[in-house]
Amino acid sequence: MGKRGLRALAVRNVKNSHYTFDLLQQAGHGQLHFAAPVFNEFVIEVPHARAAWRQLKDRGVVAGVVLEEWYPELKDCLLLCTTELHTREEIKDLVRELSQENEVTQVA
Amino acid sequence: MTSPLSLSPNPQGKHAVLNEPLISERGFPGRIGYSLPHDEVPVRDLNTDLPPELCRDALADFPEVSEGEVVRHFTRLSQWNLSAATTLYPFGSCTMKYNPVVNESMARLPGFAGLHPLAPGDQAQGALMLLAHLERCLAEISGMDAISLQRARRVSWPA
Repeated sequence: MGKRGLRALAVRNVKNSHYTFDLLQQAGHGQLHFAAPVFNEFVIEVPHARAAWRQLKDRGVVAGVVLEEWYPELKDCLLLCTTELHTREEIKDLVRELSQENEVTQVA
Repeated sequence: MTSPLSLSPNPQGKHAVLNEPLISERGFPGRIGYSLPHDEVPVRDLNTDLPPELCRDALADFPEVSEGEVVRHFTRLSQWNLSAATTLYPFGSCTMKYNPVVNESMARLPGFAGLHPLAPGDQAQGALMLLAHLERCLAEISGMDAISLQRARRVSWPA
């Protein structure tokens, strides 16, 4: 990969993760839980996270990890990660699915 | 100048001993052996996404080699090993991982390669089926009532 390749790979990881949570925040369906800088993993607050995660799973989308399972204090927090392997379309799909799910859950 | 391939006396066996430089002595400045997937995500400013003090501009003494150079380098080094194909291989064969090459093809199957350790159970049924089937096979072969693939410790016996 080389010194240039490794840097390009790291930059792509940062770019994709920041693009993902920017889209989620713009959609109004999630905000970063921690203030620390993000490389490729981030914790995002999503309303009714556990229910949303289950609904998405049934549609074939694994929306990261529901942190409440291990950390009760992180209620409604999802641990998401994007790498160089995720395409723009996949990221937009995740945001779209998560946004739709939250609208449905909030209405219900 | 030494030939890259020289047949020298080898006390451990009858391998060809290859004179191989360090990987950092190979290659060329700027060479990259890997292509990133096509980038469709809109352009962003790295300096606003990450504090500049967390980013290094350069990696000193880092190899810059092509994919072919990497493969040839490590294949040559692998020829220095004792191997089950060429010699008696009595102890340490577990920790040194004698894995048949066919395992690599199996591990590359998308269903296994793409499976995350934290994937929900109902999305990992293929891998779980394989584990359960292997447990039953091992029980039948060994005559035990049951076998567990749960590791007893980090390195399983016999080390």
